[in-house]
Amino acid sequence: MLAQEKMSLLKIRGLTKTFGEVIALKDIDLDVDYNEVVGLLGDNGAGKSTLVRILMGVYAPDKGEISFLGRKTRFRSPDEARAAGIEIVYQGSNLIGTMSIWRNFFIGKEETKRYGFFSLLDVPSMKKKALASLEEIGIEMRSADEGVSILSGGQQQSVAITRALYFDAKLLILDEPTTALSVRETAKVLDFVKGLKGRGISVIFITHNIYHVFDVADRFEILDHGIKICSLNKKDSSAEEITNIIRVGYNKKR
Amino acid sequence: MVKKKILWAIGHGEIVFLFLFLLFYVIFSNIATGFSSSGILHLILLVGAELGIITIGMSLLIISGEIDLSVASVFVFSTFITLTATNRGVPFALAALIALSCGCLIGLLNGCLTVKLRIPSFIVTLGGLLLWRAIVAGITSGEPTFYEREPSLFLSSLSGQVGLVPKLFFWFVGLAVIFSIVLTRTKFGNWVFAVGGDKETARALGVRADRVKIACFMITSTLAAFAGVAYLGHSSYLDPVVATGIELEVIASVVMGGILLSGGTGNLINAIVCAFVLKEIQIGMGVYGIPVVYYKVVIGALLVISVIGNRQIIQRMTKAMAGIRNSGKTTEVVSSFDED
Repeated sequence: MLAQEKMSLLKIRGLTKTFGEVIALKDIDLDVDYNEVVGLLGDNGAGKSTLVRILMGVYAPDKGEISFLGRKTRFRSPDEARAAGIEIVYQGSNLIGTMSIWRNFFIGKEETKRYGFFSLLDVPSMKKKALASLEEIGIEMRSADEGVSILSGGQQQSVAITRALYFDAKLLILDEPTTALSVRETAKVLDFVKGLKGRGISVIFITHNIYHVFDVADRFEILDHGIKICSLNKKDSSAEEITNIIRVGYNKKR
Repeated sequence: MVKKKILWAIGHGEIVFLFLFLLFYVIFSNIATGFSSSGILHLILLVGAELGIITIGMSLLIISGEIDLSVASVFVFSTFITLTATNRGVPFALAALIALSCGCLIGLLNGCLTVKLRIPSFIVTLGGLLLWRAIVAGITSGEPTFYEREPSLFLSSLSGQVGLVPKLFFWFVGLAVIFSIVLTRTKFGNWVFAVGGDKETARALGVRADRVKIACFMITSTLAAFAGVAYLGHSSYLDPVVATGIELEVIASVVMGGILLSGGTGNLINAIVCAFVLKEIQIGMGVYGIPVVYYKVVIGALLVISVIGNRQIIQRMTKAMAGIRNSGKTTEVVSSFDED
């Protein structure tokens, strides 16, 4: 117990990022523990997306320290973040519409087989694994060669999440995963997320709609205009209170 | 029924275009005297191989989401470099290597200007189209340059024929096989499709989009340079206006072959078979007696028809897929999302 308390899965200290004149993030401290779902909340422009993009190596921070799995790290590209075990599912497109399911599933992490000097794609293996992973979440496809464009938005989101998990994500970042989905599809995705905790995966769930995340999260971190204004445990709070904090913002709270 | 046939045709484009090649062969043999001679077939295979080699590179580049309008000028530039070097005593093989390196560097330049400076590849390579040929024309003052040295081993591997088939055709087949495998069966190939389909999503998933595109530019220019070197296999001199407009034929082959100009999808083999179909049409028209100018008209028309045709095919394809999903006895694409 003590060892786990000392070593969080993710530790962020003093993270700061500016884009020209705009202060996107200022002095952010944030922890994510093992087997935890953290809701990262705040109104549009609060800095949530900037924060996770820094985690994913898309942006470099101006100041601050990030420790992942107990080691201080700086990810310089999404490649490195994915290799370390952090995966992200964005609100919009996570799949490439012109490509087939198996190709989409393994982008950046293609499986190969050696033929003497050369390494060629192990296509049969990738097709099989893609189909199997999809079956696990209830999507049955005739062939992994089908284009992803025939799947619905919710199905595509599920494929993206499944893909992230297939590659042994230890930390899964969901950036507004339900914002563009229907009510039914949202419910399914949330059910799915709830099941993740039991598999030893932590989740950062970004949304500006507390009602989507209140049920599944253990803790909430609230940002406003680049500053963290609040950190709450679920049992100490309510959805209404959190909505109020977000609405009222930094100037009134504190 | 029709949908199924269209789907089959899309999936087996190579057979369709091969059929077209044979069809035109039969047609021209009947209407143009002398077309079915072995000399004509040899010529078709020769210029088809030349066009095909450039088409290989351009196909890859267009699938990756970019374009290179300067391939014809790089071709001429490469021939010129090779000639200039050999006429100064450099062995042909080494001169060829220098020319290929120039092509490679030009590709690197194209790539860097496009991805780092964010200039559209259309503009960058339009500049190249003007520049490289102009340098050659300027230095030679428009006069032809002749090949003055002894024949070399490497040169003889590019010139002449084995039976009916030009040696260049074998080079072409080798390159086609290699790059087809690269595109469809390697990690890099997957990245090419990804970057052309959706560059930002590909990047977010860890693909080095910039490097992939630059590599495609380099492949395109190097293959264009190779075609330029190989040109000396069947011509002993270089006229600076040679191969003018070949980029049009290359792009037409690519588009006719079903590769979308928007990138992200396509089949290399289709495009290169189309290159042969185009060359066959050109030679057939020539043998039949139609003035050379009208070939460009044909290409232009085919280009436009192909672009329209590609759009229709994509639409039909997505509808057909959805149709398969919703009908039929087996349940395809059933998920917990749809049932409840």
